[in-house]
Amino acid sequence: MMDPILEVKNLTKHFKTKYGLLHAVDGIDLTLERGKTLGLVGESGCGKSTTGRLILKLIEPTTGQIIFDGKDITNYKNRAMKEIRRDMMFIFQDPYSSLDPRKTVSQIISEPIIANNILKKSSDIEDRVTELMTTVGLAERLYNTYPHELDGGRRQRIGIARAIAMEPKFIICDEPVSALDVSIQAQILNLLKELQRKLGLSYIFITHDLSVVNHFSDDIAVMYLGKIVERAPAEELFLNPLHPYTKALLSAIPVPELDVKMERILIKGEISSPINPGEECRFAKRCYFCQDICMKEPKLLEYSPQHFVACHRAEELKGLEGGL
Amino acid sequence: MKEKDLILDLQDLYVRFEVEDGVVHAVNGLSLQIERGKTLGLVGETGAGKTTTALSLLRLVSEPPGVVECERLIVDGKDVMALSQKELESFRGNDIAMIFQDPMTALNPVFTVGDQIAETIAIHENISQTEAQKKAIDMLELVGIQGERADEYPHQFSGGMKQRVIIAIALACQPRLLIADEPTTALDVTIQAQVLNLMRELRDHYKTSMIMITHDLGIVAQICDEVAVVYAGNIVEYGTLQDIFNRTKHPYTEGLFNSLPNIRDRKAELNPIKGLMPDPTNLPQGCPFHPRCPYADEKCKEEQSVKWVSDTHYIRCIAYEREGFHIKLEEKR
Ligand SMILES: Nc1ncnc2c1ncn2[C@@H]1O[C@H](COP(=O)(O)OP(=O)(O)O)[C@@H](O)[C@H]1O
Ligand SMILES: Nc1ncnc2c1ncn2[C@@H]1O[C@H](COP(=O)(O)OP(=O)(O)O)[C@@H](O)[C@H]1O
Ligand SMILES: [Mg+2]
Ligand SMILES: [Mg+2]
Repeated sequence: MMDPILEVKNLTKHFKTKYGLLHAVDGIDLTLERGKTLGLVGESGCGKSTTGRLILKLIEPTTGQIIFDGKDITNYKNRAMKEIRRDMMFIFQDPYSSLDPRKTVSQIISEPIIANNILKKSSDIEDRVTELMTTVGLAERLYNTYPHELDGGRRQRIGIARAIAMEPKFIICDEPVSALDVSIQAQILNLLKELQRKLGLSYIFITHDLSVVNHFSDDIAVMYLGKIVERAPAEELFLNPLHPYTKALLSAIPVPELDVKMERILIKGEISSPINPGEECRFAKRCYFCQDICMKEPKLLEYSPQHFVACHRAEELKGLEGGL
Repeated sequence: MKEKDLILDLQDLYVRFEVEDGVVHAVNGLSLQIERGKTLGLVGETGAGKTTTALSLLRLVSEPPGVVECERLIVDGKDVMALSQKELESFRGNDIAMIFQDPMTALNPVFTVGDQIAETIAIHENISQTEAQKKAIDMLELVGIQGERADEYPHQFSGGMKQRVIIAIALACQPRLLIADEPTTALDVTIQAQVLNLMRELRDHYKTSMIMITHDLGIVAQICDEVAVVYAGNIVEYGTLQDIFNRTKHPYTEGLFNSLPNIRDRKAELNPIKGLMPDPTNLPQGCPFHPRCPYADEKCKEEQSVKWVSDTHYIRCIAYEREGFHIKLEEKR
């Protein structure tokens, strides 16, 4: 049964810059099933965070449509949006910059509860904060400490506690573990999974780390210069990547095992400018398989059930190395 | 027995920082030997003392607040602790060079990249400015950047290209020992793969000995011959790639592996190490890992010594000798 919590159609964000129009997000379609995780991967600057901010309506789209929990929220304004916002939360990469340094842990966590008038009695608020702290694994003794006194892992737990305080339906996690050491990263990933099970949360999980996204997501969308170039269930994407960029990304993962002789598909050069992109496939300049046909932009098409790819040559390149 | 040809012989390095809130015990009796031509991986999490160890080899730890002590520090036959300030200047660059994590801060924004490479060459080799400029362009091309771009400034380069420039500078004088401190951490994966490839090629070409500092066991697997796993300022496990990856013996190393997602099995659970890194101003008694270690008992609070488990492989752990101890990792593989 399809029961999407979120659908995004032709979502586009262009920024005006002095050099021209910057195509940060350029007509993307996404679907997130209720209770599931959609991973959004790609290199820095490809438009992941902008996508997240568009969905939460922190910025206005240039064009496109956002349907959240059955409602088209694209044109929702202040009042209506405030209601919806309780159900959609954000967890950032660097919790430090998003946490007010003058506030204590408990003040930070209770902020949304107070702002939305959920609880009024201070003893109720205290109880709720303590409960939330326990849920995310923060010791009670940290109740009155300040974020700068804590390590990155604990700060991320504060960000998570605040995000779940309103019992949202949906959270966008933007590189939530990228700044953390591996042992702490694993603790936070496990916590996010446990919360998903307990609270029935749906996630969009933004990351540049391919092994993390594979572990964490049900479906994965690969972005390149504002476009989605491939989208599939995680397992399928890792076994049968179709887009040359996806293949290159997967083959660049430093796997912590010996004697894995993966065919490395090194790609040339670096990501090009998102300003005034041409008519050609966005990846053409770096692609080893680029041909004349690639001077026309490919559409994202369903190649096999649930597996979408935007590459003219997907069929021909199918057998090529690149999967695991 | 044949004497080993060592590029680095470090014995009992201690570094502490005497700061307001107390004494940070950053490096605690670390010993390390590297054979010429080999690449050693120095692996561990933030605060383990990797960067401080590396800076000590170049005598670049700021003193004060730092206090550096060691029994022996020989790099390429030179007794580094005995070098004068002047000798140290030529030592850095000619004998040993370091690549830092953040390419943004390592380059000077007001000089062109060509000038910066040329300057390094001019300092270390007795050649004219024009010759140095010409050599700088060669170095740029060697790291995959068009020579014409020598006249550009660092801000005109992307992160990956800046890191290439830094590699060019580090290699310009063909140092005997190259230390790379998280050289690709700030880069995207596809660019990381390009830079690692480049480093491997240049290392093989110049036969440079190398220390690769990283928190990423995937990078270690790609580029290192030997591995030292560092925790709280000392090596807890040391061995060849095979020893560390396929014959893991230390519970901390096991914890690191178990924290990583398995790329071939999405459903496999992560088993993180419980708790946090110890406070370096107040390290636990005995084995510094014992408060987080699933195998620890009372004995682990006592002083730990090195146990060689083979000719190439040692650990600093006594739980290993206990009956019933065995690393769960071996079952998983
Ligand atoms: N407010 C803004 N004004 C102009 N350009 C922006 C703005 N926000 C983001 N961008 C640009 O949009 C592109 C996508 O950025 P972002 O979504 O942050 O990428 P990612 O999160 O994938 O690294 C980048 O080129 C970035 O510089
Ligand atoms: N200049 C300094 N003053 C005080 N403490 C320092 C200084 N440099 C490093 N440290 C401390 O020494 C310990 C080891 O740091 P470092 O060598 O940078 O670790 P790593 O590179 O493994 O992350 C840390 O606790 C760090 O905070
Ligand atoms: Mg981002
Ligand atoms: Mg460091």
